[in-house]
Amino acid sequence: MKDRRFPGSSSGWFFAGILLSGFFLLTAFSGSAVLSVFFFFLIPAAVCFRNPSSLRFAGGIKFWIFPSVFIFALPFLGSPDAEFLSFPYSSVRASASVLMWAHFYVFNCLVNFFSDNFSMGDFLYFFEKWKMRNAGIRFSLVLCAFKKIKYEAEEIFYFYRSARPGPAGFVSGLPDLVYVFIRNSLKTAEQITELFLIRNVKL
Amino acid sequence: MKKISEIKFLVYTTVFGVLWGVFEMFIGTYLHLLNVPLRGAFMAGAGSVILCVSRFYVDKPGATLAMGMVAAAVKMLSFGAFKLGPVGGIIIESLIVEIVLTVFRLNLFSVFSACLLACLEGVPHFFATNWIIYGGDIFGAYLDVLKKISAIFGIKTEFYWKIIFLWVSAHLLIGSLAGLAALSVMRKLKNER
Repeated sequence: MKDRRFPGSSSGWFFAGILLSGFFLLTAFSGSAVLSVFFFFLIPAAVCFRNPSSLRFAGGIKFWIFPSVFIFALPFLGSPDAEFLSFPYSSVRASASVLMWAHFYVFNCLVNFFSDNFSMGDFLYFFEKWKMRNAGIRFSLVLCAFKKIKYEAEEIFYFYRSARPGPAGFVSGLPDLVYVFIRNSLKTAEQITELFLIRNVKL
Repeated sequence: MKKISEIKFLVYTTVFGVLWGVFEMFIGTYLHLLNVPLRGAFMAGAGSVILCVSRFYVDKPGATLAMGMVAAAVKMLSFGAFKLGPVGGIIIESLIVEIVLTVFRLNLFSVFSACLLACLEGVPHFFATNWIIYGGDIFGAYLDVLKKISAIFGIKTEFYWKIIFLWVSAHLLIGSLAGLAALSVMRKLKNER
């Protein structure tokens, strides 16, 4: 669980997450079904140990219907060597489909694990602990700049759309739109640089 | 002087990275929801314009890659569950632009070719992300489906080659437009300086 009172309390799990991601990538690139099956049990078990809700299907049922139907329809499209309820299907393709679906589900568990268990505080704590001060400053700067740029972008886009209605108008002025976005970001960057110099921020 | 340049590197790369991340987060998600074809190439085009133009202000090796990492971090905070594709794309595109701009320095040729190559990244990207998410078996499955569809509708292999040709050409076209847009924006900003 995210514990905002004690940032860094989950740094062990952070490393565990990185290790589990490595195992997951190994299953994508290795051809061994035994290794894949082993990690497909290990990874969900590990994330479940930390937080059982990481095993949920992210994105809702609607998101899962299409890939599931596609993956489980594949055995019926391959060269048939067996029958299921008098429908011919490929048993080789069926086992590959099960692995494919498991791969997709385990990936979902890992994404849930990272988004459920780590807060901004954990990342900042991680940078401080491992003497990556600049990365910590950059991380905080991202959060500050994000809000400013997001509001500015929304405002610029609103006025651009009202000045150029219709798809043709929208497309014709795109370089100007990008130019305004960049010019405004440049001003933001200049202001922050000035602030860092005035406050004598050491890098 | 060194301190100013260090601060500029940190701040400018972060701010421009955030700008690209915001683009990816809102416009990228919007295009994804509308299921617009070639949305990856469009986003790569927009990203490469931002990367090339920002290099105009922080012309140091590593600046573009730093921007890409920031944009990827912002994209990770974005809506939706699966972001491996766009996040991987952002990092690879920034790496491509970084290599081109470091090797050839900032000029007309390098800006145009960086945008072109960044957009073209969408072609191998499709195969790489499918491999990571579903494993290597997915390509055999895709081929089986194509064979089945071809048998049902009587489609010849040449048809698929034409589709691939169109797909790659569309990426090249978007990349060229992005390159021209980057040069036009840089010209405007140069006049302002």
